[in-house]
Amino acid sequence: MSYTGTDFRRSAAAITSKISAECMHLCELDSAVGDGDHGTTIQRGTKAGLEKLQASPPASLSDDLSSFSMGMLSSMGGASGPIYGSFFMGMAGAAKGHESADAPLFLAMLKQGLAQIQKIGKAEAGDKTLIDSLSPAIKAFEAALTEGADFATCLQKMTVAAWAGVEHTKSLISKRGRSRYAGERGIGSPDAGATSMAFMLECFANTATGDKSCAS
Amino acid sequence: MRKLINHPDNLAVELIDGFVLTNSKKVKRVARHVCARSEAPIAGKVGIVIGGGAGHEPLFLEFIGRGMADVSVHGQIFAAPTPDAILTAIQAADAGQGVILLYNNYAGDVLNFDMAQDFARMQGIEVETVLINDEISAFPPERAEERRGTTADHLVIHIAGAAAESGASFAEVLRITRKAVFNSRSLGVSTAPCTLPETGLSTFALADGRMEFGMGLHGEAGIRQCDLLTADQTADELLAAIIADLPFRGGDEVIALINGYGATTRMEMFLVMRRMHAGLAEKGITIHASELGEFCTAQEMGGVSVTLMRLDAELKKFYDCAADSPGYKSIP
Repeated sequence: MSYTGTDFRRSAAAITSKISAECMHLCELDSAVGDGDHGTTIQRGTKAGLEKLQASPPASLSDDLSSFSMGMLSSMGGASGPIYGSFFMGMAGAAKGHESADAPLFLAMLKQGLAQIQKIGKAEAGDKTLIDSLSPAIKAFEAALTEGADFATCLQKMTVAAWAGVEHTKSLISKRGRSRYAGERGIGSPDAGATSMAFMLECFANTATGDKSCAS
Repeated sequence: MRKLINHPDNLAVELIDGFVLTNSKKVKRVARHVCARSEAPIAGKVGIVIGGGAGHEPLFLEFIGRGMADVSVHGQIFAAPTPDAILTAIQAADAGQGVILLYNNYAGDVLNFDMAQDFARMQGIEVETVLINDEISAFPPERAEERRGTTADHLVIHIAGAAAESGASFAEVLRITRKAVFNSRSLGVSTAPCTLPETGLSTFALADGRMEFGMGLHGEAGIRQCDLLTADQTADELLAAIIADLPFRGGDEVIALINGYGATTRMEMFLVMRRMHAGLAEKGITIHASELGEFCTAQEMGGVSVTLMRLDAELKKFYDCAADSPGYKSIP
């Protein structure tokens, strides 16, 4: 099994429809500590990313990721625009020069996506951000790969860990962005960014392994 | 939902459409999310770009004009503009004398403006940033660089704009603008929540008869909730915290500003202003000018904020220059 540009186009479509379906849910999570627009912002970004992707002829995995990233970056604004844009741009950077990704390359792509987010956002694990679902997800993927698991299993472990990470954010106090003003009042509510990131990773996993449940 | 809107996706653009149509002799549309005073870019003048999330009108949208900013760039409601829109704004303000990006210190704004600043520098445009961080409640003075920008905005924009209009060099306008920020302090209190027009959701809950100090412009949590105080008590508490923060001292000369957040009656604002004058007089602080109104709103949030800006001779000179923007006018 390998992950190709065509797979990413299916992932992008799945992500876009999943985020649309969860839009209000994400807004409600955000309104617990912020202004409640995370759902609409990320919906606008994924739609614009998908439109940009569909308007361009099928290209390499790296170019497709980068088109999606640019679509998000030029439509979202807020803090999440540069952050999510950087995630896909980082993935694109690691995929450069490869027709498709095997499990080790996919891991490298995720890692570079995370590194790109941390470079601009300066957040650390435990700050109650999307890093708290992305980082444990990457670690779980890597642990599975080290144990010799196949690509599909690595992706599955990644998704489970991402959602465990979301659950963990309930106990955290935000240290980044406007939600940090909520302080202890944010405890009990999962982070909206960690949640949307978990939806994205789940969609990556589902489309890569051929499960279409995310695209419905 | 109690707002007159069309499709939520088009809110920011339609808002700018309406603004430009209303002021068509003085402002022009540059791009979907960007508008400028008609004369921009102005030869020989340092360019001033302001911007941030929409939904705070008249901030930032309406503060372009003589003695104010050249270009304003907007994101969606309460969300920072995108890097490409900001780059377009920088290009529209650039007359070869450099461009200053002047906006509020929020993570989203900094991320997007910094990216645009990098792009503009790559194109050879001289660009520097001044972050406004007047709100005192969220961080102590020693962490002032983390503080948010709020209702000192139009005062700082005016001083920057007036300095630029005077023909001051890029370095001079930067220095004067930073000085204006350094001398500004604000604190507000909310009495009623606001709803986000895109979702109809309230950004926070506040029971009738309660109030919250230090609430942000987007409904982000403040520092203390309490039962509703009187106008005098509210003014006293806001003023005491602000005075202690800089600190303002007897003999200082200030601009004293009362801002309504969107659903506040002018009656309430005048009551708070009345008490603020008494409080400042008690401390021996002189008021050079008083301003009262809606300069920076948070949709229909209830409550007021108090802003003081300490003046020296130079800041006073530029404050006293003319400002002529749709959202803020001052005639010397």
